[in-house]
Amino acid sequence: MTAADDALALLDDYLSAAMSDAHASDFEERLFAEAAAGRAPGLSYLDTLFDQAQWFVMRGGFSSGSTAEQIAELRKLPHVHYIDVEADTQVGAWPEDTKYVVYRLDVDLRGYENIDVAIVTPEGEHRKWFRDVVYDPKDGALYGACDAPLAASTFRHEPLIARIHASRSGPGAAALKRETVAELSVTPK
Amino acid sequence: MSAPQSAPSEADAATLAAQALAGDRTAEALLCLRLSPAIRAFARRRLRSQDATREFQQEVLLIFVEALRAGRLEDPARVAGFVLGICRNLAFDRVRERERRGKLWELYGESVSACDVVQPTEVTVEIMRLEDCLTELSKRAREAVWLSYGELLSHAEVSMRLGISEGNARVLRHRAVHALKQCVATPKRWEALQ
Repeated sequence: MTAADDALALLDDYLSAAMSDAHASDFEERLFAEAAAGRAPGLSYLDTLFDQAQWFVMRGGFSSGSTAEQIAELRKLPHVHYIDVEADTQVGAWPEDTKYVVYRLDVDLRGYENIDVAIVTPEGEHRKWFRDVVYDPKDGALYGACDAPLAASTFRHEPLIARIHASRSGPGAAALKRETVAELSVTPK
Repeated sequence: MSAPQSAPSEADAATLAAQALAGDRTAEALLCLRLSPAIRAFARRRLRSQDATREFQQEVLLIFVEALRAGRLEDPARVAGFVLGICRNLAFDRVRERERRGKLWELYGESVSACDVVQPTEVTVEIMRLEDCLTELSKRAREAVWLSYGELLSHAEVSMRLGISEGNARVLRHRAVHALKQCVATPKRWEALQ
């Protein structure tokens, strides 16, 4: 841990009231002095995180994964574009005024847990992880939603593969073993 | 509040406070800008909602600016402590007020909560970066950040909701906010593609 990490942890303790009032009193003296001097980068970061998190409050949270019903509701809104991702999907351009992209990955993950999705190029170069994603229990498919610029990097820029890793639900050796459950490729049209 | 254009951004707090006392509005604005995150942190430790935090900040800054213009800041070198003092006095006044209000909440709180309105805001690159980075956290870490910074729960409430010890909740949250801080500081590929 660096000094900056420690400072961030202390600030988090202060904000969450994990820090006692007795310690908080001294901490506040330093906090205000550093803020007045313009030397409180951790404070700026957590201050911004609070404000940004409120934007996600409006959108329903930080959850990674949606249900078919939630996606169906989103599709009723204006400026929302839907993509159905099957084993080998070509994705065309979406309307310029698209603000939100919602998608369904055609897999059945019922019976699996600890599901991660790795986004890689066909050459195997890693692009991004989606950790601990949640599937719709009714059909086992993965549903998601994100802002259009984020979606563009996955669907519109280069051929990519969504490689889904998971382990079997329940006890036993199979549950400990990670397997590649599915691979879906997406190519910009 | 945006950063003043001509402000001496590297100036120390005492210099800024002395300039502000002498009537320099740019120095005054820069001091308010620098101190605002600390005032919000002070408020967040004690208050639940974003609206209450903003209201508290505004009240503190109004008192501070009034004091500056009336020349009531005696030692410019102690400007940070002066503002902290305003925060503490205001918090003390509010505790007394809250005790009175708490009784009203018990009686009518449920009815009043239903009337809360959340103002929508436009998505920004910074929010999308956060959205991007959140997907790379474990579910547990996401939950810890969500409960603390989204639902604005206290440390004890977070550990209770996660069903883990307060110590574990603390470590989980520290690691998550640290990982997020590093992640959001890095420009993403999609930003270059826009």
